[in-house]
Amino acid sequence: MTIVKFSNVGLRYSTGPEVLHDLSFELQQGSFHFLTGPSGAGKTSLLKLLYLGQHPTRGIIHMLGRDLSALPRRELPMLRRQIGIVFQDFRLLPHLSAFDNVALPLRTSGLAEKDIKRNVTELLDWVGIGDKMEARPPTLSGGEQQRIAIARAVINRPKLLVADEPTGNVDSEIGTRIMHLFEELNRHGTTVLIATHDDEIVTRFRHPQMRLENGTLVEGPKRKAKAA
Amino acid sequence: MAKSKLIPGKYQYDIGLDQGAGAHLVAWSTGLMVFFATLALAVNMGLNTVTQNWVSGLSGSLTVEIKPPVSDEQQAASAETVKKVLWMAKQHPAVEKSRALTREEILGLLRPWLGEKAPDSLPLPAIIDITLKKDVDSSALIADINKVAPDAAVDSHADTLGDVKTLVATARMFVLLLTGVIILLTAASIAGIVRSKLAIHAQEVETLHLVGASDEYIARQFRHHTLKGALKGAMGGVFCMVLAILGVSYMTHTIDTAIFPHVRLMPLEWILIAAAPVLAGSLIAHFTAQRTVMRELSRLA
Ligand SMILES: Nc1ncnc2c1ncn2[C@@H]1O[C@H](COP(=O)(O)OP(=O)(O)OP(=O)(O)O)[C@@H](O)[C@H]1O
Ligand SMILES: [Mg+2]
Repeated sequence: MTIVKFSNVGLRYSTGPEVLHDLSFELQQGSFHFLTGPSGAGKTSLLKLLYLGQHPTRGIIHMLGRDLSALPRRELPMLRRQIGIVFQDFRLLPHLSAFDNVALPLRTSGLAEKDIKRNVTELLDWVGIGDKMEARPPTLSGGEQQRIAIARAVINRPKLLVADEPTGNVDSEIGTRIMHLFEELNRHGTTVLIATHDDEIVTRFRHPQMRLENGTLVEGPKRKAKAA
Repeated sequence: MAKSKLIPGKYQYDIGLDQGAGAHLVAWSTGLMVFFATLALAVNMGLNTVTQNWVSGLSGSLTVEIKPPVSDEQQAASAETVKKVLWMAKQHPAVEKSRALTREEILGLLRPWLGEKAPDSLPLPAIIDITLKKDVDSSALIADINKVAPDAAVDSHADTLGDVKTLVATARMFVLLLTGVIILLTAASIAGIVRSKLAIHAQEVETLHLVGASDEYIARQFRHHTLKGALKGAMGGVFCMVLAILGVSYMTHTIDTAIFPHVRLMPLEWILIAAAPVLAGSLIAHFTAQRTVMRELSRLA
């Protein structure tokens, strides 16, 4: 099943130059890709398109079977709840506790408070923040914030997970742990796309690459039909 | 919206709405609106009471004025006419009571024009004050008075009443208009506050959207926050207003009010004055916030 389908997608920010050109590719359910490329190549921009944080300036994006250009605004939240995002700068809500930040996607989808408590506690324990659940993000280290951001992205078992440099602020041991978490999620059917500069991770975990250079896809799952 | 684990049962916003310089702006603007709108309402009701008292006081009376005598024999004739009018009035079915004003009373009425020292020899008109029975037509009586005293001027206060009524109606209209302007201004300022809060917290709002929050989920927090401020402000406004009204009525009770009837409010009006503005102010703030947030959010991607 195709989770994401780009057809001749281009993106420019307001009146600036085009930063993504003519992208056409598909991501199949259960696939796992690294998104690589030099700084400024457009990795974050591509992820923005994927997590519905930006409209393409041209081309058509199909996401979970829906044509985004024809999607009414009120249906956006439902679609977004199936996408987990790890932002490059985390974007945790600064005056919510670690617990409440991770609980956010569950609360916005209206889950019962007792289920929220069980799920969130379990996951925070797993990423090693169990003893700091009531701490606010600004009082935590970069690595701790990153783990909270990752927990928030995976808490409601998304169909698609996009992560922007998710191992950028943690030591290699925690980086490995995070990668294992993503692979675990992937085994349960989540499609994963991870933007990274970290060559060590890319070579060690041996997932196929999507490579961007100057806003163009030079390597990727263009016509590759990947098995789940 | 997150329920804080630390303080059970207390709302905790996902966005830092309680922080920052504008935290009390909603309370202040709602408070001021409620204060001035209630003031306007009180003035409006006060004016109503005043006119009613005036109207019932004046419309139930007639003033008969008999021209001042210029010679001695006219003096006698004038005194005769006064007697005739009084005698006629006493038997008349429309009359409750009647009496001639004393020289001192008449001088008192004329003092604004004559000053303190009017000469003793000054010829004064005779004035008869007639109080009518309730709800009677005064025209037959006026005709009868004109029969016995053709030169007398009978004032049924109709002109004065008309003027007072027009004046009061204009004043009340003006007060209403002012209330409307105050309410509009407050709604506009609340919309402005909400919009600037949205702008300040744009990044957090975007994050909420991206993790799947609906517009309604976000709007609820702004609405709740605005309502909380508005309630606080409205209650403060009403409290100040009640103090002000108590102050005014204390003063008007101690000042001798010969001309003005007491500005007094009925118990029902008191309750209205206390409850309605709190409710109205909060509702206005609530709906303004809701409309503003939903409109602003729908402009986002
Ligand atoms: N919000 C924005 N407004 C205007 N231009 C932008 C914006 N975000 C990115 N760009 C431009 O788009 C291009 C691609 O940026 P992007 O952040 O996608 O690169 P990247 O591959 O993620 O880089 P890095 O590896 O450093 O994170 C850059 O030239 C950048 O200047
Ligand atoms: Mg980037």
